[in-house]
Amino acid sequence: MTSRVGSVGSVREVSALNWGRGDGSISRSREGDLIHKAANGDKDAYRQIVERHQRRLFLSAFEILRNREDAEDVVQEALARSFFSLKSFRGGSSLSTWLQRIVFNLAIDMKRRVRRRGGEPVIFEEGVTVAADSAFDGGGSDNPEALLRQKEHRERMMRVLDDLSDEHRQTIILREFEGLSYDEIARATGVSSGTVMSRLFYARKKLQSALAEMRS
Amino acid sequence: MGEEMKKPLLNETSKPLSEKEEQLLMRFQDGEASWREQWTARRLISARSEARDFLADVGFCGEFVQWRAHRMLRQLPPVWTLFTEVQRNIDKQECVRKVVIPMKGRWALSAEMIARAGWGVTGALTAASVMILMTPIGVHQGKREGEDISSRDIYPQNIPLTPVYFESSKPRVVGGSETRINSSYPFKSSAVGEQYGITWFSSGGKMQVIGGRSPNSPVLWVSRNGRVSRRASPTPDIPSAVFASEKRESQPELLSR
Repeated sequence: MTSRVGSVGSVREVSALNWGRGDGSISRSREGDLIHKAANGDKDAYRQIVERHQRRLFLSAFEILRNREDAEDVVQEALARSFFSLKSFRGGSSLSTWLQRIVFNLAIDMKRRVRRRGGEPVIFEEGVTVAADSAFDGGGSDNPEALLRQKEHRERMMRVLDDLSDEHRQTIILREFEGLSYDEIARATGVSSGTVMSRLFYARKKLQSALAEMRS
Repeated sequence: MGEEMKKPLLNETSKPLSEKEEQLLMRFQDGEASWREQWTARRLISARSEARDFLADVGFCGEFVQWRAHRMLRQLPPVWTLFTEVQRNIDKQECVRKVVIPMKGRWALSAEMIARAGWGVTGALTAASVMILMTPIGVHQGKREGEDISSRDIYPQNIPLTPVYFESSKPRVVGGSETRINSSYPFKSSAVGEQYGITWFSSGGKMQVIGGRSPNSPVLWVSRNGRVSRRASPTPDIPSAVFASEKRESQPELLSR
């Protein structure tokens, strides 16, 4: 697999960073304890919950809104609302899924509002340099030609991902980045598991088509 | 999966995978396949190089999505946190929730409900200006927590709708008599115990709700064109509210009741 487009081994290492799923620092029972405290108005407990989930929630919102400020607003509002609704959180799904659902709904609402007022999306600062620590960043090769090819491949894949509908993009991110199951994604996005599978399949096929074109 | 996948169970073919087979493999890769589907998928992977390629591509695409997500997140400052803003938002909402005012004989609409109805809590509470049309409520015969409530000393019953614009913590009349509104400013001590109806307000920027500590602070009645919301009781700990705003450029429209 790794030889087809480039080595991707280091991506797994990146996944170990503490903004991946299950940040590692808080166990499930500890989180349950925090939820209980926060539901009773303990803001310090809620701060820990917020700090655990904020980056992933931000990413979800950003994937829909493509605007950092809007995404931050949505996550803030979602987290503030959820503070008051924690008492109604029954634990039927994980807190992460529950929060994702709130963020997803608010982000979709905001996107509609932005569209209605004819707002222009502001793209995330692409100019910010990111450390080259994965194959997608050009790591592992010092051949300028190979680097250029990798850059082209990366950009092409980015475009394909960006061109997906919000729902498709959100679904594949929840699956691949958050590691949510189909049922969890279904709960987070308010659709059936079948729809999740269908969206996932479509999104992957689009990315695979881009891969195939790159190979040819 | 390892050893079984290496031994082909069927002869290799070059037929492309069907959509059904691809979906099966995808479910298998995602750990969503039933035991029977897993068995089928393993046979397919052993038998078909296309299946193995398909799974490799799915894996690669997944890693690309992860890389992209991490790349975006790494653009955030290392100590980036939303909690300060979240807490501010929570504090505002808590304040608004405590300023929900009951309206006798009619449904009362809390500031929060208005905010949600029109702009969302954040939208309304972080909006930059507010126009409030205030009228005295003509139903002040009732009592609130043992107080005698009367608006007559401050507002004559026939007072017209007065649009009020609050800037910082001071209200300003828009298109009306500033002296008059200041004399009946509902949030100063002389107005304690009064009830006021906010018929409508709109916002185009930031708005802040400030709670007072006096147990006798005034109560606001809020309705929206007569179409309003549930009734709620005022809470004694933050009984007063000041709707403050900043920087409203244009003259607000007078909205009819």
